[in-house]
Amino acid sequence: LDSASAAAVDDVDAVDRRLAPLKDVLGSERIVGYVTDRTAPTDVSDVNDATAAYYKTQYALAPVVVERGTDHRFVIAECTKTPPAAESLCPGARVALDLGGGTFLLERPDVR
Amino acid sequence: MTLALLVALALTTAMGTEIAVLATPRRRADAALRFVLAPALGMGASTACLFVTLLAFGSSVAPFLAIETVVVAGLAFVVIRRLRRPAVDDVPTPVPAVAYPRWATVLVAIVFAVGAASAAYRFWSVVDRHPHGTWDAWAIWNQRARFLAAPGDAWTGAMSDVLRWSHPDYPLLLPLDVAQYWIAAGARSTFVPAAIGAVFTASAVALLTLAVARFRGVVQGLLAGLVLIAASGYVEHGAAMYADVPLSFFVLTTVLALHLRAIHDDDRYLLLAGISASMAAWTKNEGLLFLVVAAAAALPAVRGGVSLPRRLKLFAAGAAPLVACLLAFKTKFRVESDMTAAMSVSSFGAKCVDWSRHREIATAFFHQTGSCFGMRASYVALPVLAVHSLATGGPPRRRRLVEAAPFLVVAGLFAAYYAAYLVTPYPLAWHISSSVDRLFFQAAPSVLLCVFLRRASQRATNGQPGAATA
Repeated sequence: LDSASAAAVDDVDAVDRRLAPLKDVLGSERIVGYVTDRTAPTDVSDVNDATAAYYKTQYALAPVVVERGTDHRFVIAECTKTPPAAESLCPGARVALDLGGGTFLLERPDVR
Repeated sequence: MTLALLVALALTTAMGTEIAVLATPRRRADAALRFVLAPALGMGASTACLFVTLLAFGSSVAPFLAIETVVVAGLAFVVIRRLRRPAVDDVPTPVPAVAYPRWATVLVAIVFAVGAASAAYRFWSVVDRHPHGTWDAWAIWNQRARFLAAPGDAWTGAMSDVLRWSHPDYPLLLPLDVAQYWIAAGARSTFVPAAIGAVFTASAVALLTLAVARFRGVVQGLLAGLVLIAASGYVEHGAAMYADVPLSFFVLTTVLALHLRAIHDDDRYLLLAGISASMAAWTKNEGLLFLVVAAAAALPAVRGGVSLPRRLKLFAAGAAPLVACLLAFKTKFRVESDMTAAMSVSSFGAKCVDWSRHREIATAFFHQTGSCFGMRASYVALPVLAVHSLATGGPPRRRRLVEAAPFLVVAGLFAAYYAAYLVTPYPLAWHISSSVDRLFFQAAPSVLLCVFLRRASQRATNGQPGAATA
């Protein structure tokens, strides 16, 4: 924790608020998928924007486990490009909820 | 504030007070010590109640408060029995050899008050900008607390293999602490982890100040506390809701307990050492290393002390409840540490004789020593303190092994850190840069205690007020 990061204002609270509606939608769901169009980190020491966004999503959704990938009925998609193309990140899924800020809840009808 | 939250706070306070009373000999000089120890010990011990609740009933407020009530009542019974016995003889505590003029004491007290106010503002300012804590807080500790506070058995999701990046093998003291008040309140307020951070930060500063003041006088005590709150980042780490500040408090308590044991030739302080060392182990994996080092430090005998098995029994009695929780946690979830999982034993030899690694670690430790205490200020303040310590310390003398135990514990902790870096499976530069500041803050209060008490190990049994070496 250096003085710069202590002084900076982070967006964790904003992410927490943005994803708050998902708690009702997901109900008793214990695990969801996660995809993003950000560049994936290469290894443990590569802490980039994609890592931060994924970690913040997990924090906001806990106690739901968020797993990278699309193997679950519900998938969180975070898009940085405009226009956002969430469905292209998870073929076969439909947008169940637009949470704003490029974040979507996708639902895969083929997974129960 | 709900009734359940008030009850939980009252039970935590009662538990901490009872443990502080039971873990220290009945000595008048220890009254202030018990007062400072109680809040953090209570928060540490109550996590065991929540962990048992989670294992037996899942996350539920009624069983949790019922278990806490039973524990508080049981401890109260033991405390009352103990209070009926006569108190131990009060032994004179070494008093500082140097008497400061009153104006100097007042001046240092004013500077300390200004420093404390500044630290409180810095703490608030970090919390205000980061209500969920900074990176490790929301990525690890508070995230896990959200799992642990979830209804039913959803808490086990925190240890999911999917979340390996969030170190699910880390012990649970801090997240359980946060979760217990969220469960009691029925809501996830960001005020709770911030308040817990404040209690541990203030407790560490108060304990260091009190301990040094007891053996070296009020001025030295205030100076020690001042150096800690002025340390570049210690208060901020507490506000960031990291586990390193709670860990530093438990390490400091253990080191102080070992020092009190040597000063008073009283093995009963080993109970406190065992309790606090086990709380360190229940806070972070580094604390587990510390527990082993502290247990070894409990071995040397004091004059007129008890036998080795009895010494170990005292230490183990203090450590047992939370070590049992730790074992239950590690056994139930069997999540391997990412570090040990990635380690290759075959590469140990090559890493140990790779001198560039030694140079890199030693350089990082050297730079961190400066930056930990405020790079610019410390290069002035620390030599001044060292000179002052030498000037007021009296002649050098041979130290008994038991008196050296606190110093050996701190040295052992740094040796463990060094060894961990030496064999780390991760890129060394990244591993150091992402953790060395936190490791130093874990030890900072204890290092300061050792620096200020360097020559204060004169046994008190024969001491007359004013005669003992400060």
